[in-house]
Order: sequence, then structure tokens, then C-alpha cells
Amino acid sequence: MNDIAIWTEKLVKVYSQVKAVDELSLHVPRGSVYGFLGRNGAGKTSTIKILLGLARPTAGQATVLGFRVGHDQVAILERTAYVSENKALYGNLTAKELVRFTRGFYPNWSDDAATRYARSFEIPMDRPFVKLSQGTRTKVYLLLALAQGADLLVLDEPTTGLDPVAVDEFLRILGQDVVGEGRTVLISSHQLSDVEQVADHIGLIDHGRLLLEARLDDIKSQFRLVTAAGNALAQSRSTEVVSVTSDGNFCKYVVRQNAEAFAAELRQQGATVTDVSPLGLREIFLEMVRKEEVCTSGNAAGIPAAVSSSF
Amino acid sequence: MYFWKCCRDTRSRFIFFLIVITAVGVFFPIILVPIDVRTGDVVRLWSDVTDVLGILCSILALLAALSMAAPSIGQEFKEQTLGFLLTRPRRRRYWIWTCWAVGACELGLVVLIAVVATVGTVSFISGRVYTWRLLVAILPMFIGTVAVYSLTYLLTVLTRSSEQGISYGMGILIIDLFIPLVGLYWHVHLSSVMSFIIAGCRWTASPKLAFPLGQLAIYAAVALAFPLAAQLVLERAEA
Repeated sequence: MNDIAIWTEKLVKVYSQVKAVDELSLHVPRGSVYGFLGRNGAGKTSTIKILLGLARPTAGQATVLGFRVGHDQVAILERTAYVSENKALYGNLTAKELVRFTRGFYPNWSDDAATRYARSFEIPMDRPFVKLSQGTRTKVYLLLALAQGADLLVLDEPTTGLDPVAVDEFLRILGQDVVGEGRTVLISSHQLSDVEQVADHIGLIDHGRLLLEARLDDIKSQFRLVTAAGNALAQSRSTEVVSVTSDGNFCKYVVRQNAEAFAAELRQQGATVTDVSPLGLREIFLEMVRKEEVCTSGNAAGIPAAVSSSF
Repeated sequence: MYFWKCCRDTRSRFIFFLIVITAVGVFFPIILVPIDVRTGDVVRLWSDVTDVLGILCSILALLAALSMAAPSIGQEFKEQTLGFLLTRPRRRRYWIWTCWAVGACELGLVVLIAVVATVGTVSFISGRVYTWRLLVAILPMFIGTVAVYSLTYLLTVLTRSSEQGISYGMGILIIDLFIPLVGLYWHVHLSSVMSFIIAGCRWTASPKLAFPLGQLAIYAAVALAFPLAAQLVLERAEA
């Protein structure tokens, strides 16, 4: 368990008869940057809230940095920095006052780092929070989280409202000051290109259930788009096939593994396989969570399996 | 740090009530005392002083209690900063009691200033320095106002709204003020928080009266029970 920063087992959260989190078992390795992905309402924020003690699980258990969620909450919070989805802070306080307010809670707080990040993000430190733009509010939130010197950073939509330059700067800081020091990051974001840039592990959930959890490199090396031409190919229902899209005589298959074997199978059926190409994180995400369409088979939601696992 | 933040949230209301209550504590004795001193009626002088304290100042102190209970903790709900606050590494009881303590300390200062301003002015004008008994009037006034403050505080946490907390608190206070009148109809002696404060003040002017120690203990227990209930609510709350 020492090499696991976040561990959950069959975590369930029900809000007035709606299952926000459904038997979720996550494993976030220490020192990793874990991209926690899913559609709106998939259960990401609910899971994060449970981990930080803001919500109580209906069932299941979890540990963060080896401390039990719900029992050792102060110990967890001392070591965890959190950037929330709503980025709400005290409107009448300036960024400087917010820094002064926050630093007292954290023994590892670094004033030097706070000054550096304020300069990097170009934050007007003497202006009240309420008078800042959405992007600058996000920057203040990031500054408060990054300067804590926390062992674990939980970032829920950390780039909301940031311009591309600020996003780039944030990702640079994340890579250099956080990942470089061996700290763990759980990043939940819809900006898949940002996640792809920094994450080394991916957890994908939908309707509160884990669809996929693996190293990003493994996912990218195993998911393939197989394009084939032939008749009645869309009926193929191999368990390796995540989705099938038909366009005239052409069919495009997203295959989770053993793409070459699947292509050989298609050839045996008389099809002409025109291309077997790798997929980006965005394409994999879309294929995994997209609702079933007319010519889609083998919905991945029914197969909560890992492509590969390092645990 | 949270203590500092809560002080910031309530300081404008605190300063406002401090100024108003000081003005009342000074202004009314200036009018009343010369009349009583001229007539040489010491008993009347004491009675007038305790009336100023008991009625005017306690009304203001109760308004201060209602007004200052909600801003700090209410702001957490209004600005949706509860999630930020509860992810700082402190137990939830720390937030509740720190925030409550700031308001209670400020109320204590408001009450102290009310008494000191009134007693000081009377002593200065009349040339008589009043005994410690008048200063004891601080205790019922303080405990009574803190009880109202704690009730409003709990209601703010329960409703997750400053406005609703103050509205419900004021509603309950008004009902409480009418309780002795209802008791009179049924020939039963009932006490309200206002009558408790006034009784405390009257005791200073009439040494033969019994000090309302029993009521003081009950109101003190109530004043502590409400924030305890608020703590239990927050400990079970989801942000």
C-alpha cells in the first residue's frame, strides 16, 4: 500500500436515489500524475469530495496517502492541496491576504514559491478576489495549492478560464516543481490535451463506474483504429472491439487490444483491412464514453477492465 | 488565521454597534442625571441608570447579537467557500467555535462598553462613583445577548443562509419577548431574555432583590448548547 497514494475499494455514493459513484475501485500510484477523466456527471467530483472528506461515502472504503478517509481527515488535508471545481474564495480578501490566510495552515508552505508563482501567473496581489477575472481567480487558487508543498495535489478542472499561455505555464510548473519532486497529482479535466501532456496514468469513469485504469503509454500502445472495407462487417462483436462506425462499405473499429489479430480475423471474413492506426487520448476517451449509436457494438461501458496495470 | 478573517467579516457591524451603544450610554445619562441630582433622589438616579442600561442598551446589544451572528459563518455558505474552508487541515469544530468566539468576544466588548459608558457618565456628572454592583450588570446582559447570538448562529448554520438565520432569530426573539405577557394573562411568571437582562440590571439598583443566578446558569448553558449543536450539524454536513 505504500506505493499507492489513493486507494478506493467499491466506493459508492448515492444522492437521493441517484448513484453518483458506483463501486469505484481506484489505484493512484505515488509519484504519478493521474488523469481522472469522465463526462459531466460521471462521478469525478463526487469521488474527489469523498476523498477530501467533503462528502461521506454511502458504501466502500478509501485511503489517501495511507490515511483512512473519514477517520484521519486532518492528516489527509495536511498533506493534500485541492483546487476545487468552483474556484470560490473570499471575495473581499486580496490575493495577498488569501496567501496570508492559507499559509498558517500548512507547515510546508513556501513563501518563496508563492512569490514565484504570483510572478509567473502575473497575479495582481493587492486586488480583491471578487474583482479578478475568472482566469485570474483560477491562478490564485492554483498558487494557493502549489505553494502548500503538499504530497498530493487534487486538481478539479484546474485550467478553467486560463488562457493558453497561463495553461502552458501551469503545466510547466506542474511538471517541474511537483512531478519533478516526486509528488502525486490527481487531475480531473475535460481538457484532454492538457491531461495527455502531463499524465502518466489514466482513470476513466462513466456513470460512476470505472471503465479503464492504466498507464497512458499502455493505453496508447494498445488502442487501435482498424479501418476495413467489406460487406456486413458492422455485425462484428468481438470483446476487444470498443466501437464500430459504418460509412458505406467502410467500417471503422476501435479495438482495445490485439488489433493485429482482429485485423487478421476481418481478413479471414473476406474484408480488406486498409489501415491500422494508433489513437490519441481524445479519440480513446470519446469511443469509451460515447453513447451507443446505430452502428456501434461492444459498448465499453459493459467491460470495466484495465488495459494493463502496473499494480 | 480564521480568527483574523472572522474579525474582518464582522468588524464593520461591531464598530457600528460600538459607536451607537457608546452614544446611547453617554447621551441618556447626560439628560437624566442632572435632573435626579437636582432633586437629590438617589434611588431614582439608580433606577434611571439601570433603565438606560437594561432597556436601551440591551435592545441594542440584542440587535448586535442578531446582526453579528450571521456574517462570518453565513458568508461561507453565501460565497460557496465552505468547500475551501473544510479542506484546510483543521477539525470542523475548530471553524465553528473560532467563528462563534469572535462574535462572542465582540459582543462582550459591546456590553462592556455600554456599561462602562453609562456608569462612567453617571459617575462623572453626579460626582458619585458607583459600586461594583453596577458592573455585575454586565454578566446577565452578556450571557443574554450571547444566548440570542448563539441561537442566530445555529439557525444560520441550519439554514445555510445569513438572511434566514437573522430572520428566524429575530422571529424567535420577538416571540420570546411576548412570553411574559402571555404568562401575565394566565397569572404565571414567565421570563424572556429581555426581562432576564433587565432583572440583572435592576438588581444593581435594588440590593434587596435576588440576583438571577439560576436564570444566568440556564442562559449560559443555552448559549453554549447552540454552537455545540451547530458543530454537530457542520460535522455531518456535506459541502
